[in-house]
Amino acid sequence: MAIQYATDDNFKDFIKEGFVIVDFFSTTCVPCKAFSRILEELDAELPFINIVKVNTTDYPKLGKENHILAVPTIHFYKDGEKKVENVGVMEVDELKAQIGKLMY
Amino acid sequence: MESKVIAFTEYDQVDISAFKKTFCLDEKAFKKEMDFLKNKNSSWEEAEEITSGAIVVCDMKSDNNFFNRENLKLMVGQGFFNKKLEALCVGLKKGTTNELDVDGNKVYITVKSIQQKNDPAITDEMVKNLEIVGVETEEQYKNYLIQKQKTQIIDNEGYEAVNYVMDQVFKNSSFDLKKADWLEMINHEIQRLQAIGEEEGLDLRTMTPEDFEGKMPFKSYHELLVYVQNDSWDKVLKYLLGCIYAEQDEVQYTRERYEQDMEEYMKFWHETKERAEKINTYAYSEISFYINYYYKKVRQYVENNFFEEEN
Repeated sequence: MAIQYATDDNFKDFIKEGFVIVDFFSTTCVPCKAFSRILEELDAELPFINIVKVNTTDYPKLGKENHILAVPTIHFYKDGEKKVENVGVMEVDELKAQIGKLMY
Repeated sequence: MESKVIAFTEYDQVDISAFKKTFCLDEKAFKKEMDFLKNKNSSWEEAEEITSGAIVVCDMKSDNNFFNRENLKLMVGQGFFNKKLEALCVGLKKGTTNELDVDGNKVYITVKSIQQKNDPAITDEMVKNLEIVGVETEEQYKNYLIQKQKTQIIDNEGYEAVNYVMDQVFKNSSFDLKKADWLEMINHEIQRLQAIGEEEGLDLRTMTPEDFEGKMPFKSYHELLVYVQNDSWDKVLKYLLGCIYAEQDEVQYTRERYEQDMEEYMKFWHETKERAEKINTYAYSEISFYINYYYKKVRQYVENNFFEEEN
């Protein structure tokens, strides 16, 4: 599945089923760009993982609702429930470790 | 500014052989980039038999509830679901039901679909789609990745060489320096920092060590001022040399360029136009442009000569 970009309207639909990684980022944040590339690598290697990106510059309401205080912040959801939260860039291996812990 | 360059040494005449390094390609990082390009362009095809790396959809039945699943999607070999079970899946055929012993648990698995990754050979078309300026072929992409690694090494280790070149140029050149220019350089910097601090209600002159904490590596205004004063002579020299090279290259700082700089500054720092222009006055931006122009020349020279020739 390709990386999808959430809006105020579809965010809840994106996270309600299955295992989903959500990346809260902002337009001008440099570490966010590095993390974006890491997510692209993950998506290319594991295309069955659902990845959703939330631009908190364009959708500040989503940032506020999800209590985002710094970017990038990564949330791991399972069937709509947030299981783990991480502030700051994660490497591919760290993401894979969370997938192994949470996906099934 | 009234200061002048009387005679100067060209930066590319400074010998930096003492700083040269032997370049060793980081094979792992290189492979990672090439694999990324392949993965981006891979396709998934229906297969009849499970191999490592395949994406499988299956039903499972077992006395152990963890292995009771319907339409479970897993990537064989990643170990996200269960390493042992995934290893036992290799060789199973689509449409069959199989009994597996997973660490003492009997698991009946029905393979519903198998998708196997088709890794393509890298083509120039894939490289073009990356939209990297001047990179259109596989060979160019490989060279680009090598150059990127070199640039990263220079970013981390070239600082000393760049400073050495500039120091040598300053030592072997003659300048007619005016104290007023040095003062102007100091004032620009202090005014800029003062304008940045204003946003948080801070006055540089009365800032406490706690106020400085996490913002600037100083404990008092006095410490900050001493640093700026020391740095400002070098800045005057860099500015003067930058002006000479910019003129040689027929480059100059203009109002249009300033407007662009302010646009970028406003976007990056989320500042208003008024604040951006207060922090970065035209005079300060112009001086910084020529200082950076000189820095970039020296940096390019170091970059081009940092690694030993490869045989």
